[in-house]
Amino acid sequence: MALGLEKLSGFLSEKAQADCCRIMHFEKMSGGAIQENYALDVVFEGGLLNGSHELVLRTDAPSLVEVSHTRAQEFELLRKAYEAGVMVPEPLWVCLDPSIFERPFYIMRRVKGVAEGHILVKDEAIKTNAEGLLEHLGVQLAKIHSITPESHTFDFLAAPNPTPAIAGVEFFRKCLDRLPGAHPTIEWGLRWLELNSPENVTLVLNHRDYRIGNLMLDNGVLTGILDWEFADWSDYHEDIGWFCARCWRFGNFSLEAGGIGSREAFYRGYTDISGRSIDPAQAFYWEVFAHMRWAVIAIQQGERHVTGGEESLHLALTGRVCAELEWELLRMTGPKKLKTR
Amino acid sequence: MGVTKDDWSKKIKNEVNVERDSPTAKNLLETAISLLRNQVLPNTPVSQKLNLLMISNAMAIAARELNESIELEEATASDLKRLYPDKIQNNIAELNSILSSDIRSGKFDDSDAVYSVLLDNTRRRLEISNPRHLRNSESR
Repeated sequence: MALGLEKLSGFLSEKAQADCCRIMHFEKMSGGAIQENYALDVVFEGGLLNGSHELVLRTDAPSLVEVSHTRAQEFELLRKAYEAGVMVPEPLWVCLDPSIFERPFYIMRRVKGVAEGHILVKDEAIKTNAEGLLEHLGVQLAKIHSITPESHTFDFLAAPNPTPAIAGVEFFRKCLDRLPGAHPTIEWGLRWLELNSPENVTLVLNHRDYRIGNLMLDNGVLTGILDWEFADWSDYHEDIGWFCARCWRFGNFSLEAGGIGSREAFYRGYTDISGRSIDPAQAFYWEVFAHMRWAVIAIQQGERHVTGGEESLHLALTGRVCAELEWELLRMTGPKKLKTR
Repeated sequence: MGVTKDDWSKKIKNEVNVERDSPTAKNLLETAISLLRNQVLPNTPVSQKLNLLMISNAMAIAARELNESIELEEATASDLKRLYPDKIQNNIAELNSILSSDIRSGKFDDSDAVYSVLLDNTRRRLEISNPRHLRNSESR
């Protein structure tokens, strides 16, 4: 790795137009089944960023999930979000040359805080101002959603066809068809999603993993919105449903917004800035969709362990989360709730 | 066609008559989990606590599955054969696959019977994978 770090320091130095860049600390950060993050402390001498900086190098893990973006694409999304005033770690440079760090990567500033959902839902600092924090998280989501197909173009994102919901159902079915075994309960949920898909669609850039656990919080204050690898055009209710879905409340089921507070506070922050109203029926639909998406990912993660050559207890246990997601899906989609075409 | 569910069930039942060492696999796992949680976990460095909790969770799921998997398979087979009385020669995997296709094609859109089978099967699987989630869910 010494040679790699020499090349990395050369890359950083060139990008910062510095006389030299010294890497003082370099360490792999925890988490990230799909991407790997490294904490990077550097000192630039001269140039644009003269002085000490705490940075993150983000690269692909050896095994990729096909739906996630490349690092270059994620960098582009992060840059556009940053320009739109979204609280993301400032993206600095992207590198596609594999001779520098073996895999493509990008560099962003490091933000302080904790992003583990199970810890955050018990955090006293959050409890004292949960409603204020949720309003702020609603405001931030509205800022992400200010990026629309009318205002922005991304070469790697296409408008979902015919609608985000139906495109999602078709994608999930393709995923299931590639996996071993049959999943009748998942099929039941997919049929419900197909029959109940919303007709009105307002496309905006959705983060598609906007939830407690991907939001860095320091002492109850948001410091950065992370993990943009799944961002895509979708109806704005998708992110709202994902954030409020029961499966992302980390056991605090009565606190409907992310397991930390009221749905009303989150909605208030969102609607005040976006000017859009939130349709409860659409929010519910996308909460069902959230359980489905997480269930399909959980099956895939389990298979990565069983047949994908990646022995991991974490992946194995994620596979076993599927039963509780299927249970929630069934509770939300009884036969009396099915519409007829 | 391979070994049917009924053949397999008979095979297991026959094997129960074979002499087994005591304590059972389930008892061994439960005893090991108790030792891990009560004595090892409190003395484990913070950096390894999550790993240890994952280990004890995996062992607890395995212990419950050892205890309940035969009942789960028998109940599932019985439910599926009730839905498909003309396909009793098919095994569970085949019937699950047929059920999945039928649900996808819309054959059971209004079927209380299918919904009830799915609910019962998922409840039994959840009893194994995460019984606490089931308790929390049913009490709400």
